[in-house]
Amino acid sequence: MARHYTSLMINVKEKDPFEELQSFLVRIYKLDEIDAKIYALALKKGILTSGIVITEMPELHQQTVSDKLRRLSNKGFLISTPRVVGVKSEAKRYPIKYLPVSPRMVLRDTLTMYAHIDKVVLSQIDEHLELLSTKQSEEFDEDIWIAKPEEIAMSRWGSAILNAKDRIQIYSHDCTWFNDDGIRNALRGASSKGVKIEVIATHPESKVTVGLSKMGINVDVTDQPNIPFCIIDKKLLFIPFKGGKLGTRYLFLMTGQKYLIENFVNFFSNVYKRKQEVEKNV
Amino acid sequence: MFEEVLVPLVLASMLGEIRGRTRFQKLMFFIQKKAKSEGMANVSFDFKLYLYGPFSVSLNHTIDDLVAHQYLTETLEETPNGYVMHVYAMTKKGKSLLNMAKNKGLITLQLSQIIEEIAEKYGELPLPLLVEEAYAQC
Repeated sequence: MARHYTSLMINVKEKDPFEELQSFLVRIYKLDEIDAKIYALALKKGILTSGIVITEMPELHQQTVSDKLRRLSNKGFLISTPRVVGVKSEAKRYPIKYLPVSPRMVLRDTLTMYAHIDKVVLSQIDEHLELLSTKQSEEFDEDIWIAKPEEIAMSRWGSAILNAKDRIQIYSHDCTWFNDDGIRNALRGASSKGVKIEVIATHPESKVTVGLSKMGINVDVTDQPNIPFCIIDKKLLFIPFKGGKLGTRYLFLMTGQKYLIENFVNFFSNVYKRKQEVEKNV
Repeated sequence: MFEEVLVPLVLASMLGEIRGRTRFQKLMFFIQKKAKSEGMANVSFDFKLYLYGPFSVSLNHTIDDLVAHQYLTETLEETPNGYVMHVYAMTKKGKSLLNMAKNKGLITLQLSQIIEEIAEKYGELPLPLLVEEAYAQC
């Protein structure tokens, strides 16, 4: 019966729901990886015995499989036939069978909690953050902050670009940040709102200059060396640096310090002035 | 039924934009309270008192649905320190739905006047004051 249903499963491009559930159970529910795999197998097959598990997962030892099946039953993921107590030969003839319990039932409390967090708790936190957003941000401005990991760092930079009101000034080397979808979309969004975007780079890739130019953003090439940076509305400064375990991920220093920002704004203006002078002389 | 979808749209239309999900919630609470006090029971979101005053989970859903169906736009404005303000505005699709609803008389004049009154009185009130006022009226 179980074999019949699994054979009807079609290979589709969407993610395999069993794998997704397995991943959820491991990452969020903190279930042991092999336990999650056995539970997913039970759901696929409809019924399990330790023999079926060993056939599908030959790397596992018989005793390990029995222990894991018993543990999954105790946790409510599986229900089983009774263990036959008696002579060995009798037990062999009647292997313990396991039926999967629906994940909706197993995860009921967790899902209810998630729904509550999503619908009520996070909405309350949203209200709290909206109220905080109406207050002055002096404490933020006074310090230098480190945004990491890379996903958070890029997302902070992207949303700062998207929220720019007036002007964005970027000093870069090769402009590889343009390959990030979030940053590209943010620049497109800011540009379409009429925000002035100025980019100066030491050696920009040609596909980047073409891409930026399609958004109406001109890239000026300079030979003046400096660390890369981005200034938003002359109020917020982002300085990227490489970090992470292998030192290959982009992280950001962020600050609203007026003095520091002024220095970077001046550097940016000087590069422009110098460039204009050189062009005039040529 | 219709009013629960239309009142948020009328409010957004009157204010031009609604700055804050919190503001949206509190203004809708005032409208519902006023409407009920005048004997209109056609808007009935399940407001409960939470951390920042009256809040309705079903209104939250309605707002999300209006955004998902492109009757409203939702823009996230982030302050430098990363706090987010949700800003709502009507779309063309929202405007035409509202016009159609008005033409069919789905929103009474009395309800329209209440929304207008609340929008004028509290629409631009600073958020902390608005929350205080909502708390006071709970």
